[in-house]
Amino acid sequence: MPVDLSLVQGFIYPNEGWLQWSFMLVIYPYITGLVAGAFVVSAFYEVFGNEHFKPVSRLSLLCSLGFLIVCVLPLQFHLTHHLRGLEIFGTPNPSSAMAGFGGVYLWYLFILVLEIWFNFREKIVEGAESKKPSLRRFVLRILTLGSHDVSEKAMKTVHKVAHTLAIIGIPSACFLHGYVGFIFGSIKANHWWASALMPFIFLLSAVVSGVAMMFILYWFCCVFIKKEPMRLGTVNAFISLLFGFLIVDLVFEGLEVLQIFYAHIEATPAVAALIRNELMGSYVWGQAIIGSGVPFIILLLLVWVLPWSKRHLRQGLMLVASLFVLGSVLLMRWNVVIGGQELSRSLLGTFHFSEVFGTHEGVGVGICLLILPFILMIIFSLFLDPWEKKSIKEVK
Amino acid sequence: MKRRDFIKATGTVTLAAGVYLTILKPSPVNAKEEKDWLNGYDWNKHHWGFGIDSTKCIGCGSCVRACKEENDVPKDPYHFRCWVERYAHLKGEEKLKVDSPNGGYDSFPDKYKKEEVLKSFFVPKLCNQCAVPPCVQVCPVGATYQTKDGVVLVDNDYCIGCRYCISACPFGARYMNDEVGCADKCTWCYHRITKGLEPVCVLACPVEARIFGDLKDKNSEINKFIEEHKIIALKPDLGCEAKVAYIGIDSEVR
Repeated sequence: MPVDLSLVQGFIYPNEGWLQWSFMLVIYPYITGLVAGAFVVSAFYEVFGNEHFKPVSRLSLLCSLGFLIVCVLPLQFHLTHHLRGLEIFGTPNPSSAMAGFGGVYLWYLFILVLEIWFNFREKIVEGAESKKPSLRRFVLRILTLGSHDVSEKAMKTVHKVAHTLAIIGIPSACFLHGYVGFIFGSIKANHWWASALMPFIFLLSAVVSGVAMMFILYWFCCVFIKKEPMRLGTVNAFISLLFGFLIVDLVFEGLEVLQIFYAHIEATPAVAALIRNELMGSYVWGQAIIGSGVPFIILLLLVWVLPWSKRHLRQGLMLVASLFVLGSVLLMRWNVVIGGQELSRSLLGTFHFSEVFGTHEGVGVGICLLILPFILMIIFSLFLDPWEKKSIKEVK
Repeated sequence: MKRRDFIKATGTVTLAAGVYLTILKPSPVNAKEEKDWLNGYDWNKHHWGFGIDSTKCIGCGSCVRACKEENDVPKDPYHFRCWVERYAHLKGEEKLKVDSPNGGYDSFPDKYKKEEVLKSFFVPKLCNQCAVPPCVQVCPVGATYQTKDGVVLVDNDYCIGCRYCISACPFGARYMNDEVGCADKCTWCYHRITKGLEPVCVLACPVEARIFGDLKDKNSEINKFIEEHKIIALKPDLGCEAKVAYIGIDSEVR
């Protein structure tokens, strides 16, 4: 998309006046981050046995699958030759970081689908054996793959395999998103991107955004669908998890910027100009001060000052913190992808890019792509019930 | 079918497919096709080099105009295979002033006539045909490739239009050709040099600021240029090994 050359500050190379990676490339890492983050939430129950995450464990898996299916769409919309996109899977260039996407994506999809199949095994068989004919029963009968054995012995094996898959899934999910950070961090031409910390920053912010999203989903489902109170233990577990990962994430993000300024390399004045001229609103105020500062203070209050507070207050404040975190991580993706391109590789200037709404790569399509995973998740949950059977003891 | 037989059959098919894909499958470009495509030109016998004598450049923009005509580059101010930058040291200013209005296509307006110019020079830019090209490294499908005579080309039949190469080029030498939906760049006029002609920018330059030739030919102009001058390449710290040899530029030129 062409940029307004009258808004250029300093000097940019003539070919840089056309922004190459737009909103689609902003939401691509955002969506893959949510995939990884949602899986990590599930893994806290499946792998580490934290019972507090049990109510959202299966929902996290379905959510992760919904986002994983959609995460290739922004790339497809972005390509000028949409049908050639499959070439990345078919004839990848082994030296290209982006070409690795095909393998990493397919591997994680394989693990996640298997994990879901084993995790929902009992419910699949239960639904398939329903006496009332329905589309759900038909689909679940196919999903049984012909085996209806849910004996104690069989289920023991199923749980063992599901546990193993969850263990394999953690590094796979982390690799999927750490790798997305590597795509940017390995571009030495761009000093706002080129950093060995970039994969870690992407990964940590992914986990943070995934935890925040799963809490919001848990709140939404409890209030509007299940119409039951949220479990205090689960709310507290989410608070601790989000707070912990947010601290580490902010430390890494801070270190990256500190490194640029403290080392005072050739690009430091240019990066300073980028932040001053173009990213003051979206980075300094949006991402750092409001997007990260507000949830950090809220979580600090919840953990330190108000540990005795009641469930309603805690879930309300956590909900606000989660919304801020989701916004902050989206801004982080924007500041990396768009911000990085607003810095001229001549290191002599910056320019401002105003996002457009209507094109096939615009904000409108982006919003639709961000809604689509939730629709998929609802469809999945019609067939695979993510909720456990109610237990009065557990609710208490 | 027993489980053992199934595993055996699956293993055999997988192994056969692997052998075919890795060993037996013919290369996409075999020797005969390569010869036909190049019309008898042997890229093993050449290694092209490019030099810029910045002290001679007058910023007339002839090279930019000729390049756009020759290579069907869009005439807007966003797409350039080659362009010219102007650097000026003004009295009282600490930093260099740099500009390249419309890439130098219309030459340069005398915007510093009211200032006291301490030093000024023009720097023609084009693809550096890096020896270690980041654009080739990052292309996810191998559509961008390096020829054996040292030029980096784009195969429009393979390019998927992801623009990773454009983002990865440290010199801003690439752009998106919207007509074909593929990344595009300076090829040192590969269609001309493989026929024994000069790149069109070299031909159009009225002051011979651009020097082109075969590095494998000891008597070529480019070899003389490199031997007779202290040359510098752009952004050597990035390890791309940019191949365009410059003389007469300040270290601020990137």
